[in-house]
Amino acid sequence: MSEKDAFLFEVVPYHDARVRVIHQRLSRWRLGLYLLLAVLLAAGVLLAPLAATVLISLSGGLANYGVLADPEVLQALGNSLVWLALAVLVCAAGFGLAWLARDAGPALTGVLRVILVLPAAVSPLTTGAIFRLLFDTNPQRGAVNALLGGAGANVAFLGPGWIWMVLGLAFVWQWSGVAFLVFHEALARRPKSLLRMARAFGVERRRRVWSIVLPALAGPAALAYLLALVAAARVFDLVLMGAPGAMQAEVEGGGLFWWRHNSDLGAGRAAALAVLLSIMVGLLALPALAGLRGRVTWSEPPAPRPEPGTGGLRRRARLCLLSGSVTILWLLPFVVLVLTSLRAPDATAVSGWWRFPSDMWQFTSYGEAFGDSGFMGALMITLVRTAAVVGLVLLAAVPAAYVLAHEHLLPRRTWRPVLLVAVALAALPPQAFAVPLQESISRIVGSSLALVIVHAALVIPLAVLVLHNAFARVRTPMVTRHRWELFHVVREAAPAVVLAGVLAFVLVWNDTVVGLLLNWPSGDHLSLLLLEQARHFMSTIGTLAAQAVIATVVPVALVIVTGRWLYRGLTHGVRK
Amino acid sequence: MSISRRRFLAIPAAAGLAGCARSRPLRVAVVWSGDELRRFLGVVRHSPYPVTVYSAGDNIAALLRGPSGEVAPDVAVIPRLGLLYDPDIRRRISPLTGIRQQPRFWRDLASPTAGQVLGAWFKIAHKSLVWHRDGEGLDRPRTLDAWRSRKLSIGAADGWVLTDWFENVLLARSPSTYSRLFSQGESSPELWGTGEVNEALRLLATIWQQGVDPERGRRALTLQFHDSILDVFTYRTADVVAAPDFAWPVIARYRAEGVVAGHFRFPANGGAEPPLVVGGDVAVAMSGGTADAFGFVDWLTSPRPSDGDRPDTQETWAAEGGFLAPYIDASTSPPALQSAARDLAGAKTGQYDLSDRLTGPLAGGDGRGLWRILTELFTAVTIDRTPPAAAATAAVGRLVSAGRRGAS
Repeated sequence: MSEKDAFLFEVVPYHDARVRVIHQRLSRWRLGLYLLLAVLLAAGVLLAPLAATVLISLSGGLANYGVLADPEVLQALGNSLVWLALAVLVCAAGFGLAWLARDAGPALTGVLRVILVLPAAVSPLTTGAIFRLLFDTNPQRGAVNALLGGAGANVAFLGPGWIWMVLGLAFVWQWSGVAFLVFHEALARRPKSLLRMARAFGVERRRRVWSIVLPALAGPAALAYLLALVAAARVFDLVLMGAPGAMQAEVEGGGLFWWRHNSDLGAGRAAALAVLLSIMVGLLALPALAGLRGRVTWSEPPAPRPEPGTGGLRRRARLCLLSGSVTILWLLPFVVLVLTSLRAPDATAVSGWWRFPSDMWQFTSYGEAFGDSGFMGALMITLVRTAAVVGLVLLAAVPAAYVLAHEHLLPRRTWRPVLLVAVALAALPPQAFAVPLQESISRIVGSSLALVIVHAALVIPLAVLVLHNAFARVRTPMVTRHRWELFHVVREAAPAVVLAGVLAFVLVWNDTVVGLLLNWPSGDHLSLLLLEQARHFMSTIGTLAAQAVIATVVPVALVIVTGRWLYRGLTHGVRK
Repeated sequence: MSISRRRFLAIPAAAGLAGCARSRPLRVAVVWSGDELRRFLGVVRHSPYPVTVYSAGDNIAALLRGPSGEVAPDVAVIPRLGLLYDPDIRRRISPLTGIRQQPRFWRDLASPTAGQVLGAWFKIAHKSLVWHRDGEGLDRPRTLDAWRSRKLSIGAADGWVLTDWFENVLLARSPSTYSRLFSQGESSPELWGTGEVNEALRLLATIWQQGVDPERGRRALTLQFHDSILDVFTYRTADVVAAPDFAWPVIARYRAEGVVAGHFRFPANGGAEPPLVVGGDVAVAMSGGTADAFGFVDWLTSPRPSDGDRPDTQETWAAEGGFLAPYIDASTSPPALQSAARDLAGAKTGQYDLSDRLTGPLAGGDGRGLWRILTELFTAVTIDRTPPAAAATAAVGRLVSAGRRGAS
């Protein structure tokens, strides 16, 4: 069974075909207790404020939805659509890479996996800064323009039109690794025997692709699409850092527009815009849900990879080319950031990072960062807060997922809608509940506790989804079906628990949106400090780069250290 | 809305000074980052009151307006005068009592209601300067109409650079319109539709169109204020840049070898007075203002006694350039900036930065308000080569409709 349903979000009833055992039912109150924390947090922090937003938007009938007549609103929503379309591009890039690497050896596959997934651990603010630097209009500083300068061209990449390309590339760089993981695993598990059989029976190639390969890919494609969609719906800090101020209106989506204008729009119209945004994301997520609901059978275990050395020359050339270009393209942004941080701060403002030999190894920028008590304080506070959120998320999500994963503990009719709500909440833009939430908790606003609670509530739906999928697949021997079963399940599904914890850590560590939206007077989150440097981007890029490196090292190291567990958690969920 | 306020530096209580009885240091919110923040921290290090400085960045408005009054700072240094006129923020500010009075022009600016001074100016800026490389035979424009610079450097990525241009041109052409917009700009949207505004925008559009070709226009939209200075003084790809006095430290830091910076006043309209647009950062005590908060504001915005044995960090800052204040003598500034400092000391006809005064949908910020409308005007005339008259009329339409949204 564990080889089936290899991915999360498999919103399909788990049919236990094994010998029926007598389940020891949890008492009603204990069941409630298990769900209590997750339900309280999701309902109190997400659902109730969301309902309030909907009510505010409907005050005075549908008049508030007249906000759609504003050309600036329309432009912002149109931009949101472009971003969501970029989610498809991310999937296509991920699939393309996975297809090229479909028959790579285990060592190469491992390396590709790590390199491609690393950008997902970087904060979008840092990504924006790196790509802005790479594509700087000034050929003295921007590497791409310096290269083009050889051909006599100079393009204002950060200017009108081109800015979409820069931010689009940044977005693809950041997220296509995740899509790669999903598709690569799916391709390894494509029904080979069925394909062989079809070939033997003379089914033509097009038909084989259409009726065997594509249906087998539908589930993973839906998953990759959903993940990219959530990232696209939340594009916010990438624009704030990556685009010069004057260009932000051209690329900002509805979420950022809402943040800038909600006080001008008035409560009702701002609420209407937030609801419209949520509906848009929801509608676009529908195909993904449909794809996930379809039954996908990848019963085949991953095929044994061809031994290295076998296969044609063409295959080896393709893999060499692939690994070479992926390594260069995906690691280059990291190299740019590190080299910039190591240069003299004054030099970074007037010349590019490739001039490093002349003024390299000056740790001035790091000295400034470490000597800045505000930055160091924020680093510590962010670390403590993020750790607290991870703890709270696991405390709430583990028991909840445990109950949801075992239908014998819950009436069958209830759990499926609950899971759908979890998917919807995981994709919900924070703008949809920010205002009522802010007002309802203004009494504790500013305390670290409030921030921890809101962050945790935002991550819990995703964590429940990840854990639920793994918990449902834990083989539970009859002996252990007693009151300590939960611990047995957690031990067996440890990779998924690690995955949920790391996801929570990375999301909270890199967060900018929640900090900005919820009006926290103690806005001492690390990324907010980085954002302030955007005021004078080019003259502070040295300091910014050093701070960004320090801020990036933590999540990236975490992902590298837990890499094997994460991969196993994503594809299998359980230990064996 | 937004907040990014952070605890920046906790300065240990200076022992033996007044204010020791307080249980916690004064919380001071500012907007600066980078170099300027470091400078400010240097200033408050000598404060007789224990202080914690938070940098709120451009989101200071949200911090002051936010729903939780009880966690507001004790003192804020506000870069936009409009915030003093914002009803939500105004009721959280304590009128200043018992502090030294600043020159009348500045005091009146910080008094939204007559007789009630809400703030004292910590730092002021001269926004009507045009900088160039000295000694390279630049033909200075005598009047606005005669301004035919072919190589203007404009940091159009920062919306405030464009609003400074607009304010200078409007003030040069029609001080009375400027003054009316200043006091009633957001309550009377029809004021934006007057012929004077249209003509000022058309003249501005003409100067931009002549000075910036499409390729440079595309580049300009990606240049921030500091980059636009580098173009003149480091790369020599442009001849002049209109920039406030605080361009000086940037020029001093990055200029190419042998380059000497010079500046002249923003050209006048015909034979009239040249325009003088001023800006500044005003310190206010927030509600529940304690004696310490008032004391700190007073200390921050007054001249130091000359017999003190401490070095006065504000004077040092002023002497290095990039810092002008109503309580520091013009002769303190570096020679290149003394004329600008004297202009400000005599500011009577001068007008405060209009876009910093506006509230509501016309208020500035990336991608919004006057900043966005002028960015679109700039794009239209420099890149799309729209005729200035048509572009100006379109901008007027947008100004009026944004004003209506705010007034309704």
